[in-house]
Amino acid sequence: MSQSKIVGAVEIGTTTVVALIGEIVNGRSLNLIGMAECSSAGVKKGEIVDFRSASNCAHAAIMGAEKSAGAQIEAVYMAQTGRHLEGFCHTGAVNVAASDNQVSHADIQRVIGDAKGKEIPADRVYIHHIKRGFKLDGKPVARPLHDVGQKLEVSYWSVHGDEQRVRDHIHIINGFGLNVEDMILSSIATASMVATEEEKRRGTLVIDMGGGTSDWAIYREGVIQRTGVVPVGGDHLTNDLALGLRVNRKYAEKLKVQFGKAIVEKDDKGEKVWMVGDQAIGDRYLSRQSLVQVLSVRLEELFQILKKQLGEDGTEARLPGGVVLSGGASRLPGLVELAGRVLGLPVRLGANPEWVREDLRGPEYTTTLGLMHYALTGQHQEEFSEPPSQKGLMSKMSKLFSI
Amino acid sequence: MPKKKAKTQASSWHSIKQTSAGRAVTKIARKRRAFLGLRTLGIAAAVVLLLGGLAAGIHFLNTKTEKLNRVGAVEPLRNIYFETDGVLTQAWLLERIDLPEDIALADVDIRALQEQLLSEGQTRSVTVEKRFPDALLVSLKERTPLLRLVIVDASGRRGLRLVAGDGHVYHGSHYPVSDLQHLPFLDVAKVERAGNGYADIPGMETVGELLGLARSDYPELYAQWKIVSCRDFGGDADELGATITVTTHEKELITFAPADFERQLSRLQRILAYAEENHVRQIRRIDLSYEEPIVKLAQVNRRSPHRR
Repeated sequence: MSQSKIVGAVEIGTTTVVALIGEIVNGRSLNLIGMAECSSAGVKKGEIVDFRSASNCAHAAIMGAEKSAGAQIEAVYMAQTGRHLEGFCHTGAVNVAASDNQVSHADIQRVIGDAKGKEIPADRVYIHHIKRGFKLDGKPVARPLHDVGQKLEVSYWSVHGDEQRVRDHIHIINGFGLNVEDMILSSIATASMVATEEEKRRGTLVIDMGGGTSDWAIYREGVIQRTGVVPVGGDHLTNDLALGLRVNRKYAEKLKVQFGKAIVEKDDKGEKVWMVGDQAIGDRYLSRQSLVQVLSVRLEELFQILKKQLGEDGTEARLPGGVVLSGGASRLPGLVELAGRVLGLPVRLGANPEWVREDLRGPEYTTTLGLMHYALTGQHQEEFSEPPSQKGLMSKMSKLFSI
Repeated sequence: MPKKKAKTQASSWHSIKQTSAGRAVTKIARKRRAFLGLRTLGIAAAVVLLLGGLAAGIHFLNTKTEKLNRVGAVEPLRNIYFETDGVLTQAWLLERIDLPEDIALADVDIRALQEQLLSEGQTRSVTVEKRFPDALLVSLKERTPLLRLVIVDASGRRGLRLVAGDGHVYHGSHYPVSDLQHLPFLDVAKVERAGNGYADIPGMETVGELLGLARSDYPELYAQWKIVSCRDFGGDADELGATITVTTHEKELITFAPADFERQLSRLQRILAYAEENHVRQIRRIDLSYEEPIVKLAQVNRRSPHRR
């Protein structure tokens, strides 16, 4: 008899909340059965600033997805972003205990405990511990068990965030009567969908350009080496246009989508762009060049910040696989060219796989599709986070009696 | 700015308590919870109804199964087994029950059959049993005749009946003639009608006791008994003056008190033996109902009217 589990993937973004519902059958196959998106409110740069508004939007999206699926979600996989997220690499090291210098299970557990156990401030919580690999006597090894050596090391890229902000995200889902099964960085979820295995192996930077933030992740040797967040996204472009052109955000967004580009071209100067579009009294026009210049400057700034964050990891030598752009803001024409010019790396626009149904292939759904991917493969359990708490009767009894 | 205190143990987001209550419960969430609550209740009610229905169905099927077995037993009645403790035969039974040919065993009304056989009078008890798939077992317990009774109906026609130890009057059937011809006749003042037959005659248990004792212990006496008269015995042994009178083939009258038959029969035997030894003939009457028996001869001997 087939067993199925209904899971939801929720991304509470700065501009939209996207909820996807999938049915995982026998833990092997995934059917996407429902989807809904809702304009977001109460979220700024990926962080919740108005809990009630954010809850309303998120719940509306989840409810819509459940209705379209005709099923109730059992567990939620959630994307996490925001500038409160920080990461660091920490290496744990132990001396191999056995007299014959053979690495044992206990050695591996000790070194992992040492690597993951670094203290963080009281108001921070770990989101992920991403394993970057073992070294035995300084040499990389995939599986050190039973190998012979004296010093065993393992390094993790550990991502942590502000406890209150993480709690806000969790409690929004809890408020709907659901539990968060796992939390995954937006950049990791996106990267799992748009970067090929070859790119991940060679070394690639994946940038998820969202509304409020641009999340990035660097892959090398098939594993994530670093992640980060630049608190600039598509929303900032709209804001800049609204301020620079003195129009409200609604028209600014419309202008961005209709006439926006990342790079100024020769013909832009002569092209007239009407502010409101109805050419009625009060409407005015400007050259497209003026509009594109505003966007171009901001985007260049974004990539400059990113380049600075990446440091030496952003060089072509470290990233021979180049850059993959994703996210709603990556739709802007000329963005690939601009990013390539600023970062000095080959850039391509990421696309969702062919197996994804057509209406979900847009870059704005990549993160939630990536969450679904993790829900199916369970990679996060093994690679990125602590094992989930047991849900057995004994475990519940233990909790009850605080054993 | 105060320095933030570091955690002594690395904390994961998993340690954040997930709670479904609190500030995040929106109108949409409440609506969903109400819907889910109602759905859960609905499912629970449906499950209860389903289980109830299932239980009722099982009960119904079990009940129905019994009926179906009966109705479904369409096998015709092929064998009738007969058992009795008396003299009646299977032929007698077949004449009486008169069942249609090819009747299904299930269709045989055993209650009616039992009542019909009981109405025959000779049967004391009747058990009719269906033995599926195709057999009927009829078990009888018969009455044993104690006395013969000559009935004269309103038209003056005479008929012979038998009287059982329980006082029941019935037509005897299939008894060997030799068994009946030695039975004394009963003489009573009146035989009441009851339905199509006659009412039970009271006092026959007492009479049966007398006859039984005589037949077993004094067969030579019993063989002489022709008529047992109960004109002076209505069934109550304590009634003043109640007596049972036996008339022998020699027309002697022997009167018994309706109790202590062993003593009376013993006396009777001694009296008769004495008479035999002393060649006393023409005894007309012996009354054993008194403390001292009275013997009346045909020709009264003036010198010794009483003999002990």
